[in-house]
Amino acid sequence: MKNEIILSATNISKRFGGVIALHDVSFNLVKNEILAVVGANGAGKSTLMKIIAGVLSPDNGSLMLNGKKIEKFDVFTMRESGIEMVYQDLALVKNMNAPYNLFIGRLPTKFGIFVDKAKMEKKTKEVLERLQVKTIQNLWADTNSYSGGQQQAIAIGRAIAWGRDIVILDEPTAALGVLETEQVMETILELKKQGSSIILISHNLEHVYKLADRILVIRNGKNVREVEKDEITIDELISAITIG
Amino acid sequence: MDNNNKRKQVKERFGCFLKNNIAFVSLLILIILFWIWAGPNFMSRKNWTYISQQLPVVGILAIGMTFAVTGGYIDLSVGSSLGLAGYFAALGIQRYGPIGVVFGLVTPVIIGFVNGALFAYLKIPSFVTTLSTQVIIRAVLMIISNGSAVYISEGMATTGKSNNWLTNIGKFPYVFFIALFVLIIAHIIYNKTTFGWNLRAIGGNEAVVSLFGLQLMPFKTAVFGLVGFFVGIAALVNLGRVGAATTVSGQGMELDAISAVVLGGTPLTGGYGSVVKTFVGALSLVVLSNGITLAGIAPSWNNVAKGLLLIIAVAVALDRKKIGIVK
Ligand SMILES: Nc1ncnc2c1ncn2[C@@H]1O[C@H](COP(=O)(O)OP(=O)(O)OP(=O)(O)O)[C@@H](O)[C@H]1O
Ligand SMILES: [Mg+2]
Repeated sequence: MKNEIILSATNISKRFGGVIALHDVSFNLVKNEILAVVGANGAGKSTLMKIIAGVLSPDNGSLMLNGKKIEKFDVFTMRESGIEMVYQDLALVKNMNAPYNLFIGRLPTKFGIFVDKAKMEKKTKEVLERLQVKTIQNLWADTNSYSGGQQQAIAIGRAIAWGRDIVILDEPTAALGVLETEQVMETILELKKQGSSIILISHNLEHVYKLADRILVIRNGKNVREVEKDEITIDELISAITIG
Repeated sequence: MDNNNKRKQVKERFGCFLKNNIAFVSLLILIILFWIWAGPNFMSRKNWTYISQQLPVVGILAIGMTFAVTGGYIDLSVGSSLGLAGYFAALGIQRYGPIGVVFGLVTPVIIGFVNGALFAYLKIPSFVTTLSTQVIIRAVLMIISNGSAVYISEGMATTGKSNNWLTNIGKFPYVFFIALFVLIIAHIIYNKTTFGWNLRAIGGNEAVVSLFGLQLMPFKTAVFGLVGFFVGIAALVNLGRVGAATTVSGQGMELDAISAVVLGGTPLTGGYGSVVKTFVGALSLVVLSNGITLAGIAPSWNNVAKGLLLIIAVAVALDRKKIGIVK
């Protein structure tokens, strides 16, 4: 059972016009692990994760989820098969309230057409409690009016609310305060305890060492290292990120 | 220092109140203004009965327009569409009796779907799409009607039935209750259904909504179809009121509808809105032209006043924090 591979990427390539964002990237995600993905700005981390989340489709290469090849790259399908992602840009509809953003694409209904606000409110409160976010006074206000950290909490909440197989977090703590960051790290460990497999993108190597089981290093669109955390020192990691 | 802060807070609260309720505030100001200006006639029961007969057509059109504008779109074809719908409804009633109203409902819904499909699938901006269909529909109406009007009273000769029921719905109080009923239904669709919520979300950030699985193209097409449905009801009410379908029915009404939406505080950039406030905005427009007539001012001043009202309302109420970029 140990080291069962849940997600496996093989020779993934992606280019945007003349820019080669990813070149033959391969890696595995082991079931129930926390895999940290590190690399310099523009290395291709977000692009790789967006392919896994179904936002982008790769030009080349293949992705196997639970041993099955993924043919169709779209967010809806990926979410249906249990992959949630916290986007670096949060992907919130800011003129809408927090519950809408939490339930986007999955609005609960009464009689098939009416929005079930009670259900939404309950779950949103639960999720915010889980993230220890206590500062949101008006749950039904537009997320426009939220602070950057509160908005980030909503984006994280959306990914963890559904208790899925794979949760991808693209720099989830970038806008968060010290306490909220602690809480998100706690939540990530909790997700792991509940059986999810997690991919965490972070520039904070301290966090990476604290949370990760394994580390994937991306440099200039290529995977340069994929190692157990214990097998690499922080100095080696930094040089892998910068020189490869 | 403390006092200053307090004053600032009060000012801010007042500004916020004004921004959120500009529709009601401008209506109230207009009513007070014309009460003073035009005298007791303005506040008479007779006059308000008249006003509530004038309101429904533009009110219902404007309600429909609110749905388009909330998405960030516009429908310039509603006036022409109302004209053609009225024409087909009148013909239908002449020939088949009451069931003929179906023509009046179906025609603008089809036009709406065509508008929506051209806009959504061919990605022609809604302004351009509906400007084109506006002129096409009006021309088609001219061509097929040969420029002549259809009187619903003529139907009695062929069907042997009186069409009083239709002229009745054009009168107070029925016409007003129809409008109120439409308003309530529209309010529920707008505020309580997933359709309404998704529409507002799309108006704010289409990219994210579609990222999470909403099919944009059918959705947009449906929005314009819904606008068409409201046009259909407005067309029937208009037919009942006027008693005839003419080639100029509905001409220029799209501008009144858009004005009502704007007076109601719905930004043309989409993402926010309220059908109730739109309806109040439409009432303001009706009160304005009614008051001007009663005050004995030349009717040509009506449009000057309308334009000024729009400019003032938007200057006072446009929430530049929410809208961000004004284009
Ligand atoms: N939609 C796009 N169109 C064009 N180029 C893109 C697009 N998205 C990413 N790129 C390019 O692909 C490369 C990788 O970008 P990516 O966002 O994956 O980097 P990243 O590793 O997530 O960086 P960061 O740490 O700054 O978030 C960059 O050179 C970027 O300019
Ligand atoms: Mg990134």
